[in-house]
Amino acid sequence: MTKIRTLIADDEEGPREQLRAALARLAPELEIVAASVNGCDAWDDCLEHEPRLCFLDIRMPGMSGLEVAQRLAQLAEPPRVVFVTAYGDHALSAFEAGAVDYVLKPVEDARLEHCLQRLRQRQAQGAAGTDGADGASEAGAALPAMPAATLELLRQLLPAQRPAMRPIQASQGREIQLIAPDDILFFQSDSRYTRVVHRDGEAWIRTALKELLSDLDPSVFWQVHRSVLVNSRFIASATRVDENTMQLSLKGCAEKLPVSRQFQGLFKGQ
Amino acid sequence: MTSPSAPAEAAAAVPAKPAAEAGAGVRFDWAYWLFPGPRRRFSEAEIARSGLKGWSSGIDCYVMSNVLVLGLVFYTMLPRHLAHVILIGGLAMASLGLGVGRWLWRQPTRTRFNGATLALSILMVLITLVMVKLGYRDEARDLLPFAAGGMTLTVSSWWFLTLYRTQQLGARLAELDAQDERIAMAQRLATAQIQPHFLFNTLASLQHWVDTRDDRAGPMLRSLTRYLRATLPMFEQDRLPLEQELQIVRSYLDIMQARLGQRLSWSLDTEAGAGAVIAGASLPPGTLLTLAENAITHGIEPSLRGGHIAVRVKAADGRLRLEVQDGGQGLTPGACDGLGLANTRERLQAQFGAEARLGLEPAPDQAPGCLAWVELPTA
Repeated sequence: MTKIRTLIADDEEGPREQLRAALARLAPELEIVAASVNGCDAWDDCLEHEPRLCFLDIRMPGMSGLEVAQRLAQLAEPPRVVFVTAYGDHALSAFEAGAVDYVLKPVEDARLEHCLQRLRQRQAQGAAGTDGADGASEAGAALPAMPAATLELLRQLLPAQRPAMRPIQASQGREIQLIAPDDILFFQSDSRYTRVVHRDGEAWIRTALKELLSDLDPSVFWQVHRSVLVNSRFIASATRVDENTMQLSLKGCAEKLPVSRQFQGLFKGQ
Repeated sequence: MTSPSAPAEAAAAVPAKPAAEAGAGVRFDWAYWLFPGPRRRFSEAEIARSGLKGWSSGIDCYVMSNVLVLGLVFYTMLPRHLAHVILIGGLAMASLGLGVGRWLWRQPTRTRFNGATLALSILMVLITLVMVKLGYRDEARDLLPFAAGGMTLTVSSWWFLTLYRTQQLGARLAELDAQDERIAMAQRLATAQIQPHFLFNTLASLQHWVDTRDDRAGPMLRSLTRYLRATLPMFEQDRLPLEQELQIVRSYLDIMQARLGQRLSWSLDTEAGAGAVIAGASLPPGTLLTLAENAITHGIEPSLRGGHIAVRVKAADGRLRLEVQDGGQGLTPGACDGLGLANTRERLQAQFGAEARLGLEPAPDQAPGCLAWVELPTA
């Protein structure tokens, strides 16, 4: 049987490893594919490893567990999310009221077991729902997506307005260049640096792409690939190359940008 | 029938005095002559909130039996042909007085008091006129001193009843307000003090380290014990010696360091020569801890790379300055005093007045993060 690809994220080592140990003990059907140490990593690891189940801590630096969940919900095949939180978190009362999967820290076997039981039930329902056609091959992936109630709750819990985007600072030798976000066409991450392509040329910055995300307005800057963040105002067209590949053409730029399968839902055509 | 107004004026003038003095010279308020009584009016809700008992029927029995006994005792001394009229009239006046008393008890306003007094006066005049008209002129004249006495007694009773009830309600409401204030304060302190999020996250780390027999468990548990032992009784005191507060901050930062690992480093520096000042200094408990907690929750924890927290104790010119500087996230625009800071500010204010100051600003010298400080007089 295929194991369910699972991601756990907590910025503190103790709770993270405790959860990992507890899951190994109680849910052998799960395979921990990533253990992320902050919100940005959690999001990036989700894109890289494509887990079907995520245990997300609420309070994490970079991006909160709620923000990660909201981003995940927009993927083509969003994973199932279980929030991990400590008593005293403001989101907890909302979780208790809504139909949201969550576990409390420190994780207790009995409570975790209860949560896993619920997930297994949902999985069984989901497998029955998909009529068994691809259910066999995707037995592990058959967890149904985030319920609408969870999405609604996320919308309520997350602050609506985002801080104004600050200019990106790129150092070139002794000079520090300030680039207004409005002038940026796209960001592309390289192994260690991030390439910033703007109207007047390009620059390199040390900040990783995943760490830029929370500073940029997601309605303007769309992530279309694990390593590409594009300013939607400069997108001219999206072209489907073959079944799995899609490319973006930009205004005022000859370069073509890849759109990964997870993000192709952004360009549906009407 | 102005006799009851004399004590009325005397009593009412007392609360009016400060106002008169505050005004231009001595001002005589004619309203107290014409319309005496308490100014404060209690709403139904306030009276219900006071939770005081209503009118007791014991009072009715007591007053009626007194009037009856007095009437019977002095029966033989009364003018013979009027004795029965006086006795019955006295009982009637007493029951009327009690009825009005009950009414005043429910809502002790000066409108009610003056209305009742006026109505009683008119009633007495009418009765006298009717008696004269019916040819009982002499009887009416003989009854006059008794009627006047009874009326004075009744109106005075109403007056004192109104005043007493007003005072009683006012005092009770003030007491309830103070009680609510204390409860609210205690709740705010409790929220500021035990942060369940902190506690359970610490326990989560501890649990794991105990399970895996990690060496970090022992020191962590010791720090947590020290922290709890110091913080739990902490808020029962008004002041805490600075040395103890520093100890609490040390154990708190020890715990957070163990939890956050490489993301946090911290230092506590005491200015050379500040030792003597520290030994004698005390402050509202939790003052410095709140600053350290803020540095962690708003500076270090939200930052991807973490940072350093520097706690500094300085003394100069008879003033003590405590600083907590973090190298974390920095102030977000529009950041306002969280619950902890508002609380700390309030308690500093309560103990030192304008002498104590608290500030929160971006870290100096272009360093990342922010600086929170408190200045206190040491004397």
